[in-house]
Amino acid sequence: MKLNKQLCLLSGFAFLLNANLSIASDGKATERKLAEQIQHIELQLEQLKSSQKLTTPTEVSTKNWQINSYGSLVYKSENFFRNTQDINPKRRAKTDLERVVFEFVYNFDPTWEVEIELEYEHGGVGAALEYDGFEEFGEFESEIEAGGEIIVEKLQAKYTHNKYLAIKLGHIFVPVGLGTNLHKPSQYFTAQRHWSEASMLPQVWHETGVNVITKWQNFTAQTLITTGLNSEFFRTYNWVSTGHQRRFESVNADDLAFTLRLDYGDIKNGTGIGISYYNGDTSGNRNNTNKIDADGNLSIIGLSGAWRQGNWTAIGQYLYGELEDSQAITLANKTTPGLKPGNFAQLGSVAESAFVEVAFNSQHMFNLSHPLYLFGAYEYANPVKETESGNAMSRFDTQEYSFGLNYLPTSNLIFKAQLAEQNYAQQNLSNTHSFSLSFGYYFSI
Amino acid sequence: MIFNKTLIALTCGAILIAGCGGSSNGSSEVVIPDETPTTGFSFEATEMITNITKDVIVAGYQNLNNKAETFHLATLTLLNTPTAENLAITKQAWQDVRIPWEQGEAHIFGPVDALSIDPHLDTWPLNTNDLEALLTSESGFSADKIRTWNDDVQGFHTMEFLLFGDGVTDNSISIDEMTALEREYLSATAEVFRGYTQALYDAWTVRADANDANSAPYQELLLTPNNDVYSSQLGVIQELINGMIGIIDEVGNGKIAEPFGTSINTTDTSLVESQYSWNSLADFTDNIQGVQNVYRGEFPNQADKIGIIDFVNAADSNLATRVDEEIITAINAIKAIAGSDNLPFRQAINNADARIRIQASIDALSNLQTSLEGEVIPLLNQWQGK
Repeated sequence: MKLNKQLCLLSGFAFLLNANLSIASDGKATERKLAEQIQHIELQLEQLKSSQKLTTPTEVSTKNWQINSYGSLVYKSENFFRNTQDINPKRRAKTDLERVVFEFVYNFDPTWEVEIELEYEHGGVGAALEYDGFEEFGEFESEIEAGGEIIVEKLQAKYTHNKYLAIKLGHIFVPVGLGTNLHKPSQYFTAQRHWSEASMLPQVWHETGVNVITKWQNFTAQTLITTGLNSEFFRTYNWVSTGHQRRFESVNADDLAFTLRLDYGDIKNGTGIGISYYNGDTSGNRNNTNKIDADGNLSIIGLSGAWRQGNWTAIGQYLYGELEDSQAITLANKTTPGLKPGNFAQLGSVAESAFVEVAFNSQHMFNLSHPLYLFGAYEYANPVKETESGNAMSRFDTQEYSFGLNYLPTSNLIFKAQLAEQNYAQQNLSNTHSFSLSFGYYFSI
Repeated sequence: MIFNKTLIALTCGAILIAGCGGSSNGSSEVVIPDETPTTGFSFEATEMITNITKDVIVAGYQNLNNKAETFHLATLTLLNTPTAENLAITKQAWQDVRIPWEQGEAHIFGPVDALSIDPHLDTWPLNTNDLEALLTSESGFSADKIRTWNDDVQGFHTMEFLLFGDGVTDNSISIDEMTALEREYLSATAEVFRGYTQALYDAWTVRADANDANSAPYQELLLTPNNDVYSSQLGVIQELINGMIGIIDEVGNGKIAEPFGTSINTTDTSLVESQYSWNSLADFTDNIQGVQNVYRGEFPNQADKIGIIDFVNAADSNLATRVDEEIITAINAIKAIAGSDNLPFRQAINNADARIRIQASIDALSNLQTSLEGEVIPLLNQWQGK
């Protein structure tokens, strides 16, 4: 609403200037000055319109339904290591149709709404994994049909009691990590979503449960009870993120998780700061329950913020997580028949990650009619920061510095380019470099 | 339903009429295909399955477990009495325990797969970076500690690296080059290793599922098919033949061909397995020796017993002999790679003359694999005892 008011004021101002122009014709200097002012105002108007379209997909409309879609595609050339002994990386270029997402929203009345979100990842049809406890020692059966996935990310009913209280229930987002809030291509500046977050948490985390949202002035509090993670699939390189039970047809709900998030301001649409806390046990959701006699309690604290001032935008996040009984889980995962964690059983008892990106809209500097953001970003992740016993392997302790640009030829399309350098804590690995191009879209009907 | 049946009957009738009408030679006879197969053979498989299961597979795992124990004891002696002689004994014990393991790779199914015993014992490549970091940062090692670490800092190749050195210029280290901490790491890893060989042997002979007191030993599943894993003896024989094909493929197309490359300019010594001890050619030979053990139904120099060869012989005696000869040819070709200079494999891939011998062994393995896949596997369909 604030944006709308600004838009009205600017439009009014532009109209007045136009009117004045038709009367006044005293001197070329004044005229030129006015013309420059008009051009500047028009630019600002365009910018304001496009940012409004981008950040507020739910446009005011009389219809009670809405279909939104967004997606992204990436090209990346990067150095990679073939195995743990390899210290001379090779270069490889690859492309990925990262995702195509459809959101369907239907408002039954002003208080009840249903929202469904379908995501096609990597352009394909996915694999299903089933646990058959009656087979031999218990068997994980998988069927693979193509290299992608189709995921129902969201199936929620939302009840809005009044402006202070709303309740979401169903398959909902867990608001830990900014990726859940800012995952549309125009909501982050790097060519791909933040890998640092993905190496610790399920990126765009969704579980079945209930979310009570309370608002007061600029504060928003979210309290959630959802299904928890399954420690059978925790792995060295990305900590608890693969413990997300989406690979199973039905999700074990013996261990539930509690999430609390408190925000001040509005991170999604401008300026705000938020803190989140997640806690839940992870052993109860294992399919094979014979191997472990500990809870595997997981707690994660996240601090995130966004700041927008004039042409500047900054977004940042810090995540810290602790996993109890990580040694018992490691041992259980190594010896569960058929589970095959291979060489990636050892788990960090502590994991950590962070990122910050700062962007500047250089549109007016280059006299462009559409936004051109120049950005710099820093990312860090260490999924094995500490272990319960022995050495914490440093292979996955990584930092990345990058810079690049985002161009929006229309408000619904975004083209990105990024150059990055990766630094490794493991001393015999030299820095590597990558170059990425990506393109994303968003539309709403 | 009546309607459906009528429809089916009418459709069938129409197809038959159309089929007769289309006959070009004018003959009105309807040719009824002969349902009995033109080829077929009978073979009583019980004795063969019992023999391969007990006297080859289970006996092999027993041997592995015994040799692992001997090796563990040798590492303890080396820990307490670090002499050149004890180091030599321990190295020999490592090579000895390697033999039944590599031969057993001809039948990597059942518990060795389901319990992830293979990666626990034989992960390659080794994570030398982490191993060296552990040796500089830790003050002591125990089996309990090592058990929770990743597989790439334990098992055969970790112990090989500690005992033989990096293998770049030679495959030996002196006892003075070995620290007390390295000896402690070695013996703790050998203890963990022994635990896994015991678990593997127990799974075959005591309980397939260690957590279930009612679980039968895995060998029972092969000996008395008609269970959840093997619905019949046919399934067991198929598993055995596919096991042989699996290791032939791995040795020919993986272990040998990958480091070998397409030319002397594209070799990659980093991919050579057992490169620290220069034991690679012995590994490959034992892999195919394992194939011969299953095929013949006995270990070398043992009295003749029933094996897959007898199953093949019942159908086609020429094929049975030819496959046996192809196995011998492959083993000899691999042994010949070393040449008169006794070149280790990691050097041989970069030697022009040896490369010709390596290519010959790849070809021999490829021949053998083709015969098993193309001629032996199809016999399963012709076997009348299934």
